[in-house]
Amino acid sequence: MSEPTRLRDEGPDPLRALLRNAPRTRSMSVDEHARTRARVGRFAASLAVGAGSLAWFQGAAIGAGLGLLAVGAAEELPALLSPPSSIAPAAIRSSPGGLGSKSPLSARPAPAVSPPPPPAEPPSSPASSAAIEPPSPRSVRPAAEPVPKAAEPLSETDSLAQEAALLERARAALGPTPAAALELTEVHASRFPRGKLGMERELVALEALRRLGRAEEARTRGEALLARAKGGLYEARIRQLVSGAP
Amino acid sequence: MTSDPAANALPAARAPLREGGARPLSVLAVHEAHADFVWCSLQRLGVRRSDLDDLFQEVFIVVHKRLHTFDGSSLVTTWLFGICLRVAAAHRRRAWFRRETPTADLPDLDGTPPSDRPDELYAVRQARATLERVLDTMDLEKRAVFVMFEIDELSSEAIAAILGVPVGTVWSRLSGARKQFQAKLSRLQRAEEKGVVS
Repeated sequence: MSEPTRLRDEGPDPLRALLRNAPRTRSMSVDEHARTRARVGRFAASLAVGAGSLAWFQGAAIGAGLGLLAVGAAEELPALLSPPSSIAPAAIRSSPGGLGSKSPLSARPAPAVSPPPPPAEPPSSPASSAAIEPPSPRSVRPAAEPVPKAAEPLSETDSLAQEAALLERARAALGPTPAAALELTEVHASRFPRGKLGMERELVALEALRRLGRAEEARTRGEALLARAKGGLYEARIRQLVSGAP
Repeated sequence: MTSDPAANALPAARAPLREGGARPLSVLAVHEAHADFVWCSLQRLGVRRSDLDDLFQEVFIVVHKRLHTFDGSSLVTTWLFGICLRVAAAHRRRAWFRRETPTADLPDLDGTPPSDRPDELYAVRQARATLERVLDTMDLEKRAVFVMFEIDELSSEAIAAILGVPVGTVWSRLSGARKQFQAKLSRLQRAEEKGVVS
């Protein structure tokens, strides 16, 4: 059997004219890739701190008209994130999506590769599932492990992805080693003093303090945070943590 | 020619999502490797430019939710295409999709050689409008096969790899898609002659 001929080449005249004027599917631009990656990173990060639906609303506000997605995100809680420095193994660098069209992404350099952590285990209880998913102990890196500093300034997208990854590690540590989680939030604070996920970091820190039994500290820190979060998307969750509710 | 779809896929698409069976990749890794594939697939399934960002994000929410269920028994791209198909189908079902045709979505002239003849440009625009109308009435799967083969000029093998079916199945689906396209086109042209469609 041989490949069928295309209508645009050998079809009836009206069809040939119609199909020859058809625009081909357009590949992603580099900007679109960066923008969508940032959005995926943002919602993944928000899920990492157990406030997926809330933070996703932020993304929706930016993207406009994403209310439907927020509904979907509210059901999202599997912990499958890994540090962005671990993404894009060479084996999955490309896809056949751009076949038939040249993608401007093809020349993009691959990010550095490092092993991603294993997945987190299911939530221990429905009540806490929205905030915490106790991970496998294997997914937790030692808190003392130094976080390598970037040799060069990161782009905004890369920086956000790294923030998200670091917070995911912190979140993953909440279940087995909340002290490690707390330390990772401190690493985040020192590494990304002006990061975009500061509020998410504080939520993880509050949860870690609560799990460590440092309720008073959590309350003090949470109340200070409330001043910044008032009227915001995280206010309810912070109040919940401050009150000690699961 | 081979009938094995996987033989025509790029290594990336064949790679299991669990390296060594132990380390699941993240949604960000899937995005890094396959964002363009999802982007193109949604367009092939009829998602307009103005909706592309939102639907793209919707796909990745599903990916994030379902990633742990992917066992590598099919190509990643086949799995992703299935998600794109369901997301696009849900999008199409929404009433506003059928009612609204934003001005920004009127066919543009991307990829058209520059011309100083307005009549030529008008003809191109009209042809694209007709094409979009017809494609929008086709079954999504048929539409996708039709667009991949007839417009994007992908090979049957490449389409088979994306869909996770044998090449013979692609040809069969292409035949059905062509019949549907021509039937819908004839119906549209008859309606236009009667003045039913503006």
